[in-house]
Amino acid sequence: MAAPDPVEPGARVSVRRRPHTSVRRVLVDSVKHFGLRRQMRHPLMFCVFVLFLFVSLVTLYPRAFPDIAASYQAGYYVAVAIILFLTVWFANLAEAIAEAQGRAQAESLRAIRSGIRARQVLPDGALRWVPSDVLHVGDTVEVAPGEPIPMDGDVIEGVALIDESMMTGESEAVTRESGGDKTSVLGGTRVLQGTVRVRVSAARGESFLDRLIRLVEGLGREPTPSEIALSVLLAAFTVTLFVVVLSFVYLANFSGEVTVDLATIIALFVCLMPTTIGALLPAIGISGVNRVARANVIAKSGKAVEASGDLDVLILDKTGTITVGSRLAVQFVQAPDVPASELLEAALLSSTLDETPEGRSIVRLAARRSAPSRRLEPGSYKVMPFTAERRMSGLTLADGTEVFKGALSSIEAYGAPLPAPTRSAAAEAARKGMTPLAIAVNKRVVGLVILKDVVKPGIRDRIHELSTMGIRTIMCTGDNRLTAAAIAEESGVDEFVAEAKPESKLELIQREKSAGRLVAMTGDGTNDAPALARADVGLCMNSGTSAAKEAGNMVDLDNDPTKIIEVVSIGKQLLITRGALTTFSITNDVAKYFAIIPAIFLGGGAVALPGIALLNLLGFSNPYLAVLAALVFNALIIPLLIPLALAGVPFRPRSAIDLLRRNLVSYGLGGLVSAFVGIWLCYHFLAWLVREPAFATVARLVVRHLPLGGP
Amino acid sequence: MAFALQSLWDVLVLLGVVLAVAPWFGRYVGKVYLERPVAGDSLLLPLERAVYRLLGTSPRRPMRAGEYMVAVLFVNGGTFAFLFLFFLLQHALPLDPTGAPGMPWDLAFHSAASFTTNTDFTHFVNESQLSLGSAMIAWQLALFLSAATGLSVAAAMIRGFVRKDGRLGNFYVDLTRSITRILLPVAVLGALVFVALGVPETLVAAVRAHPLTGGTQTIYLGPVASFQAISLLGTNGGGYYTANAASPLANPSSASLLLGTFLMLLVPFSTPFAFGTMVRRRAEAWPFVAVIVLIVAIAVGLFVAYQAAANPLLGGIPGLGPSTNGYPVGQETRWSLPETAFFQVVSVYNNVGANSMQIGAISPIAQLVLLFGMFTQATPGGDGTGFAMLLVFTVLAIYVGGLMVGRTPEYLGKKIGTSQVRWAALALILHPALILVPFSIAVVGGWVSVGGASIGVTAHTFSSVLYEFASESANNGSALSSNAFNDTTPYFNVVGGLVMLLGRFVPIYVMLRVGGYFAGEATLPQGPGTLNTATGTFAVYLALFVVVVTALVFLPVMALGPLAQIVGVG
Amino acid sequence: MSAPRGPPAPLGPPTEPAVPTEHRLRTHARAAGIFLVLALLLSGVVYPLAVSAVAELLVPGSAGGSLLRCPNGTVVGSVDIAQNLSAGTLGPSLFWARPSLTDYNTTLGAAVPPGPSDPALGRLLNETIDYMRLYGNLSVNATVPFWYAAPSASSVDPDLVPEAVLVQVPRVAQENNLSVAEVLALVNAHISSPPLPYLGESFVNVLELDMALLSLVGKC
Repeated sequence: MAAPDPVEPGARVSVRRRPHTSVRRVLVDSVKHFGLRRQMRHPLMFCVFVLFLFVSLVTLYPRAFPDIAASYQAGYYVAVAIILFLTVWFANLAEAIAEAQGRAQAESLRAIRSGIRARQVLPDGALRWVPSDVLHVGDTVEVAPGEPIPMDGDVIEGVALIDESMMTGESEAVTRESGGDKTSVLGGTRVLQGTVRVRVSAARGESFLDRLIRLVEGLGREPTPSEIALSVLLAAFTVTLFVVVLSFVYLANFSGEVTVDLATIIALFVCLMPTTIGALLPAIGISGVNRVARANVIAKSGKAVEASGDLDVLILDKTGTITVGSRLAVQFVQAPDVPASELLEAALLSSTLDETPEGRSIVRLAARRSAPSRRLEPGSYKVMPFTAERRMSGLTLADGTEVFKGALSSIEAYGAPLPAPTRSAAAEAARKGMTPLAIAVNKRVVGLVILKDVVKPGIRDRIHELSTMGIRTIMCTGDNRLTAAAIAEESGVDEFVAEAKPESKLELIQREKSAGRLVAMTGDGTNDAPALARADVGLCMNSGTSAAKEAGNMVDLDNDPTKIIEVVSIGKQLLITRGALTTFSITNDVAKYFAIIPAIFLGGGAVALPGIALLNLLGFSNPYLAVLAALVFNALIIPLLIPLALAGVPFRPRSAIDLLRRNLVSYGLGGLVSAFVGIWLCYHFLAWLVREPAFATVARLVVRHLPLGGP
Repeated sequence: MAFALQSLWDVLVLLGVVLAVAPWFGRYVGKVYLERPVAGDSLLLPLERAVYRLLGTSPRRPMRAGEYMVAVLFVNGGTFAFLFLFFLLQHALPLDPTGAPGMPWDLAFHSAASFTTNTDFTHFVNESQLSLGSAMIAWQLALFLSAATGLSVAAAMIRGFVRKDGRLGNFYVDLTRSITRILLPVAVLGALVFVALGVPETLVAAVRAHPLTGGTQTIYLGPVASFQAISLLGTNGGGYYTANAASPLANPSSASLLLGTFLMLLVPFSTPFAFGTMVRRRAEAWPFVAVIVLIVAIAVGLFVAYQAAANPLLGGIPGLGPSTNGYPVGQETRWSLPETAFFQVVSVYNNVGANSMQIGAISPIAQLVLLFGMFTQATPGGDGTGFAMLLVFTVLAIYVGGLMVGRTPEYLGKKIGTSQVRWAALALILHPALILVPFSIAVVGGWVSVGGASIGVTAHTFSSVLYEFASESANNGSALSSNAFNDTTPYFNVVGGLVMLLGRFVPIYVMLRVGGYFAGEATLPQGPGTLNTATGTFAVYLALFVVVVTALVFLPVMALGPLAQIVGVG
Repeated sequence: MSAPRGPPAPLGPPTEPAVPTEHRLRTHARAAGIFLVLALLLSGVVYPLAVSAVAELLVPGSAGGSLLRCPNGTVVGSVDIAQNLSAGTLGPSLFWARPSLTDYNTTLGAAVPPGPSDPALGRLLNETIDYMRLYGNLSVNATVPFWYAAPSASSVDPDLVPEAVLVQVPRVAQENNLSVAEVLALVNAHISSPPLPYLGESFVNVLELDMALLSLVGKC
């Protein structure tokens, strides 16, 4: 791990700075990756590297290899060696670029936190300034307004307004207080208002930030199971081709009709090896995690990202995810013989001082229905706040008029009987999943205000997208069945669980998992922690408690529960990119065969097997250039595909078979055609190049002045 | 074109009949392995139960992959040992009226391996080197057991897609039912029709005849019809005569040729339907059938086209008339070109290996067509193992294709994990390695001899050696040319025998292992996000995957041999 | 080896009984052995004998190899096996079968003709044509049908395409002192046409034709 860049203590770090990817750093890294330990991690490219070393050796000391001398051509061997080197270097480059992108992100994150000093609360209650590095889990620090929070932790005392914009990009400050579900604070964020005591919950190096930094830098990245399986398949393919090529050399040389040149056969082998996917595989994995990070989600492992592409079931909280989180008034229903104005006035009165979203929505609706507005002089009324026992709220005016609104049962209990038509209107509304509240003036019910859960705009489309991807959505809510059914209907979720208790989610996850499905859920409360831990993908809101964040395997810094859909797309993209590039690599091979096999026969004595001309589809006449063209194409395709590997194959939700068809055409057929065209272009470019006198002079100079042997 | 297009009709009718019968027969086969009630239970079930009691086993004792393999090895090892000793000592055993001598140990080894592995590649002349007992007692045992082993292994692997307890079934039960319910009844019917068509079925080993122009001629007879029926039905391909299915006694008419083709096609074409029944998704059979029919049809088309074209090298021979009905060298008069071509292509693509012509004498491109079938060994391949190999291909194809739809891949609701890919990849490596390594050693090491002397290898000899190992590794048994080189040397006997044994039992282990891993997994429900494999798109994809992967692996070597021969023929 | 003893297994899913490996192997060896014996009886004895017996019952006489006999009872050969008909004193007067690479010796099995690019093929065909011209009394500009000159697959193909028989008619008529019309009539009577169009090819079984010829001239 590279040492963190030194940042001056106290330097103010700009918010979400994205230092540009340093070209020099990338180049240096791509060269560093030639190191043996790095190479060993990617056996496929290592194999190419070894072949490069071998060809170089032959080029430098051809006399040591008498068998090869017969067909040895210095210029050709130098060219093959150079292209092999480039192939490995391009692979290193792909990985270095992917890492650099991550590092850029990581550095801006790391900068946020470096050099922070904190006031530690000592056991005797005294405060002491310490560097944040020395803090341990369980230590308590005090943070005053204007100071940064040194480490991830939980507020154990006080309330504070905290600016998290440097971490989340959210400009609106958030409130954190001790007790309840909003206790967790992130190291590096800044307290704006209020002084709090924070208990450190993650040691240095273990915080979310640290994990994110490691992940985006590709350091803590373990290959995922599907990556391993793909590597095994590619390795098997390579071993098979090795056997094929080796036996081909022996047989061809033995037959005496053609002599297969060493450099040519190495070129054939390297071309047939799935180098394209082999070179880009690490970059694809790193960039998947990076893309998740760019979506402001901290994934704790690459595996979680991949698993999210694989989900079968998504468990969504109704409140906050599917609905805006509060019910809004949509309708007034008068009681019999009550004029509309009276109901509106009562509704307005009962809610004017109700600062809940519901209350405000009633005021808004009443105003829109032109309720007579009435100024309430301070002291002219007494607020009757909502209590758990009374379950209604309202006020008593100076004249003793009591205006209350509340659940039907509470209003009845308070002593205002519901007239029959009102009762049936209420039942009707409840059947539609809405919530009727009764409004009573002096124990006389004047009417109903109907509240409704409002589904977030756009959520229906997103759920539809999910179902196109084959992911079943289950909505979880504490509401009654009717309300839940109405929201489920409106949002398009496949299933819902009503009257959910805190443990319902866990049961639901267990039920789905035992049927073999992969389950994801979002959550924030401590209540959710067991379910988050049990789910295959548990996306925790950053605003949630430390316990919940610890239990989940991803944290969304933006507190947006619908973010899970984005994460699913990124996971799918990751898998698709791997599959597409594998297919591309394989179909490329077909074209390379048609370039190299005829060349081998043409090069080994054109008279031998004129029937081979049938295979010379591309009509190449110079066998050396044909082999080099295939090899150059094989190398160049790697950097050309780096952007695709980093950005991922475009993914739009479609049915699986449709996706297969499209990707087969794009990457299967595309691989075939592009290789034919690409090799043809490379050939003609090389042919032009060697005809160019300037190049020929330079090449001759190089060959003469290099310490090359040769006949 | 030197053949009448109309003569294709009977071949097409036969294909139609097979495609009409296969779904029905496949469902029957599926029920047999599911042990659901089928016709004949009242008669055979008590018998089978008696056999299980005798063996000390029971259908209620399903085995895991490892134990299943142990049982496969015991039964097949026993068969191999019995055959080896029988051939070694055939001169001293009963039923040797023609006085065939005991085989040398290396030939006995090769023959025993060949018959046990469903290959039925022969390095001897049946008429003079094989006793009546060796054919009827020893070889015929292997004809039944090797086919039954292949079917059982396929059934076990298929069960992996539906079972959840990690077990694949009981090998002895599968083996018994493969014989009593599938192979024996059809073989008896087939043999009877063969007899009615004039194929010998007698215990008389030979008759001495006195030809019209003097001298004597031995007419070799024997239980030819019964031998041939199980040989073709079981995709063994061993011929009672050296000329195999080209022999006029074994195959006297178009009717017998078509019957033989039917018997070869029946089980491999039905197995996808058996699969559909066993995994309770009948529609899943169709992509496989489509792939098989597509590839076989293209192969037959190419074969007929190139065999119909005249040999341009023969244009200069004075007095040689033109040919109607294709290229006659190494062909029999009584059949039309499409009939014999269909038999030949089906024989090689179904890993039977019986010959209705001398394929050493046919067009090089027709040879390439045959060679390709042995390289895939799964379109449709031999009884059971061919389909199981296609499933192995499918696992790999779905792995790559499944990634392209953005899910870690699954098939029939079972996730394809690293273990399955690792084992399937082994099967991918094994086949080319088993062909190319001994092939290269043979050629480069100077083991190839023609007429006793080691010589420079011509393209034809090259093709023949390549074809020999391809045939042995694929457990096919088809031989290109017995006079292109001397294949009865200890090298070709011993190495060939080992190639056949490895080419049989390693893939079987892979199939059982892959099935075993699937059997240990829960079945996931299918949704719109899972790849629907019962579609035309998937069938096309699978066909392309099989063809491209095979071509990538084998093209360089094909270029050296058969392709090189095309030089002279154009 | 004694079975492992221990406290009763706790309740749970049934586990596999711990059977020692060698014990299991012995069980398998025994089962496989018994199975092989049963299979041997079925495949080597019951199956061929049952087929023979039933065949004899249903289609008597067809399982004997289609032997041809002279009136005196000597077995001349099988309808399905060609013989060297051009040899001996009788040779010139008979219709000849396709050439055989094994010289019609069934004990040698069947031989593989040279491949299409093999120069040996041209030589072989040339030799055959020369032989037919020289001994078969062919006119110089008569062409030998390819199907007549080419070696067969079985080396004992008993059938000829009709053109190959027609080419021989002049010689046979001359040698047997028969008119060409008489011989042609005999040949036409022996052309086997397919039972349905293109279900196989039209051909003539040479041995049957020669037997008929011989009985016509009263020589068998």
